[in-house]
Amino acid sequence: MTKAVYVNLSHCIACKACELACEREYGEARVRVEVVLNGAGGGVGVPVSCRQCETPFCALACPENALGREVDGLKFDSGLCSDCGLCVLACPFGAIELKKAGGGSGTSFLNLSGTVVRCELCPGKETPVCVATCPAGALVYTDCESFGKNIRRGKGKKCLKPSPAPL
Amino acid sequence: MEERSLHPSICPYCSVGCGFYIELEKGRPVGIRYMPEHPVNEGALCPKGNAALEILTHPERLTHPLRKSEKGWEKLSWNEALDTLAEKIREVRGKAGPEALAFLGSAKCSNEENYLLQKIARMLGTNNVDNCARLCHASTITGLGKTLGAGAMTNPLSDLAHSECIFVVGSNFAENHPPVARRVLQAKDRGASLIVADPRLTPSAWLSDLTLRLRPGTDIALINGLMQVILAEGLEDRVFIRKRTVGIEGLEKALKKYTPKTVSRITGVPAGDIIKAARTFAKAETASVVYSMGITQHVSGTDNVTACADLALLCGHLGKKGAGILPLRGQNNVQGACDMGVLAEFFPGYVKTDRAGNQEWLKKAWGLEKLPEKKGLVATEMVDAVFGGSLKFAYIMGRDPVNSTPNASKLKKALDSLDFLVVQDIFLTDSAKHADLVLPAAAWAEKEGSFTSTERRIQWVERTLVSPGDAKPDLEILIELANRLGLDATYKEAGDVLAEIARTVPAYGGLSKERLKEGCGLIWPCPDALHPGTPILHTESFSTPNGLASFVPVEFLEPAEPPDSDYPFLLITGRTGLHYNAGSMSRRSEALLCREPELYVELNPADAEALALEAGTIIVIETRRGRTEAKARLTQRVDRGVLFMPFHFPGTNLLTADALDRESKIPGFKGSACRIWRR
Repeated sequence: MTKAVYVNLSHCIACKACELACEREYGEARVRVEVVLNGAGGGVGVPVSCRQCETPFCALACPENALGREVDGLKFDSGLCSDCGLCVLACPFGAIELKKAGGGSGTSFLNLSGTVVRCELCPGKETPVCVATCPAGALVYTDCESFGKNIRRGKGKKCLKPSPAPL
Repeated sequence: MEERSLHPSICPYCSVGCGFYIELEKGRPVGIRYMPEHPVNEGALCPKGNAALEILTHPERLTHPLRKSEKGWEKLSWNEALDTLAEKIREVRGKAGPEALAFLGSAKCSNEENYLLQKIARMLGTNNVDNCARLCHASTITGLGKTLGAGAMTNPLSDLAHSECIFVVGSNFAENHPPVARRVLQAKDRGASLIVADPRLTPSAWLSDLTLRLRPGTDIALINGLMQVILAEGLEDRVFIRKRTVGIEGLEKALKKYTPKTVSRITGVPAGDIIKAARTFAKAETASVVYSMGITQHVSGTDNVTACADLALLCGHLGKKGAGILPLRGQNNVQGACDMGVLAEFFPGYVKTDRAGNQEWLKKAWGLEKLPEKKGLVATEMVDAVFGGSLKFAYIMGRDPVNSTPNASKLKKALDSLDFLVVQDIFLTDSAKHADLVLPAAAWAEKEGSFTSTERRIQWVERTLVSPGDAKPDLEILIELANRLGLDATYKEAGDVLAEIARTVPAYGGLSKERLKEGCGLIWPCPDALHPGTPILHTESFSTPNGLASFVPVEFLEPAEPPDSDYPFLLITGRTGLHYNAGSMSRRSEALLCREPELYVELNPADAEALALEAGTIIVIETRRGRTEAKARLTQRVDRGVLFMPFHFPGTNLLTADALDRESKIPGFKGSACRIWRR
């Protein structure tokens, strides 16, 4: 199964270290932390980057074939793009933003100057920098099966009482 | 593949002491590589750490000694600059005596540099030496000193992962010490409870199981309330109290009136939450108290810290893994600067300067006939001494008091009233602009030396880069100055100074450059060359003469400057995740600044509505000391009647109060009555 960067939302402290790390490595951040507040002073950080879908909905939704999946990843042809925004709507993770050229750092994705700016999981590095740098341990680099298993195990561990010290 | 090399280093920002590698290409810093093997941060870095390299190559770095003249700043050679400085020191000392000199050390400089600075001051005959701990954790030294016998964090940060309950009061660790959140969350993953007490609902509070939103400045009432419940319900650790403490009777008596009902009225925290927090903390097998400047920066700072110590002692939550008191210090070497005696009341190793006979040991160690015998002026007292005419010269190393000291207008006047001010820094800070002479210093990765983190871990930082222009390591500057003053500093390198520190400060006795370079440092006390260090303090006995800890009851007093009809709001200050202290570094870091570009003030939407202010309005904030402007952020994070401003931008400390805690002389930054209006 393909590995991707997953988020343990209850752990994100919205510090934006992931954004800064990515920006330092690639010039513009391909992950962005959305801070969501509940109106009573509570909040949560939501770091979002490309989830590396095996069947990318964004590309399937593109009526102009501007966005397509090829062997070495997603390709984007800005000449074909009609700026319709269907890819934005199609991404179940809210990871896409349409951006004008030089629009600064954003979530990931389509730069209307003609490039796909998207998380590529830091090729050549054992762990993507956003995961390695996350102070809270909220970002995890794994496949989705292991992520689910870890959640199950984590919940179970919380219920376990610490074992008594050996006599 | 281009030639790149990796060099281990320690983050120059906060006190956590995170390790990472600097990636160099042709001598230039080009990248950061993480260090998962580091025991403190496990590779992680916060936003500031990720941006640390931006400071090194910043175009505004100071590259030459500068002298202020009528034509502006004039470049000088090092010889001219140091000759002028030595001459000036001799002149002031000759005319007005050594007490007219003041030396301010730097919590950003190494142990060796701080040690040498205070040694120079004391050899010249003055104890007027201080560091910025006076503004952040001076009350930790006094408060934990009189209860536990040692004013330092008792357990390493990684221990937090083993606490069953973590009680956080006045610390926004998620923004200010982000890797601490990692340990807190590891504990929570194991089932631990997190209780966060803070007037502001910070990202740290988002993680909590129970949030106690107390009124600013009512910490003592809250903590006394917790202890009252613990005693009333018999949840205290009787065995621990009997075997390891004295003074419980006094505490019991003093706490009687702090019933949940009374405390709820004072603090605004529901009585049920007070009871719940008390039970959770006391019943946990292991629990930790984490605090920071929300506790220390009050006119009752020492009492606040003392209350925290009493609480931990009452439940026996000390001296074992997962149980302790963790004051999160501010700067990367504030612990070390204090350990080195860059404090007006302490020689190196916390030996009191004004106790008879205490000078003998140091006279012998330094080969001197005489040492100053009375307590020096602390940083917060120096301002008045300038106006009184007794203080004429100040040497400021790596510090920006103009932006970090309360009542900043008064401080600026004091700096301008000095006969001579020398500032040694990496940038022309707002303080340096007031100087007669500015000395360009090397930044952290451009010099070697040891740094002591908040968990007492002493780590060696290697020289990885060369400094821009003529900038020099602070240690070299101090050695050259000492020799010009005839003080005979024969050190060839930082390792030589560390060897002298090891001979002088017992807790550092087992340290050497070679040992520190091996691994990831050692945790003091490390008394001899074979000692492995002491991660957990007070395991068998406390650092007091009889080995017992003392309960010291403290009373809640109304905050020094309560809001009134003229100044109806209460302003509290603090830090944000994307900036650092006075901002002289983080405001020069583009990646940080673009995400948090300007001064803002948080206010409750209901208050904003009453005053017809919208989000984004520029509002004027005025206290009895000054006024400043900031952009309004409407948020439920602060309660009605409370305003919050970060202190990383010039302006905030024009407003804050300079009233001092009577014991530690820390200013009561947290809590200034103010009024606001639309600009």
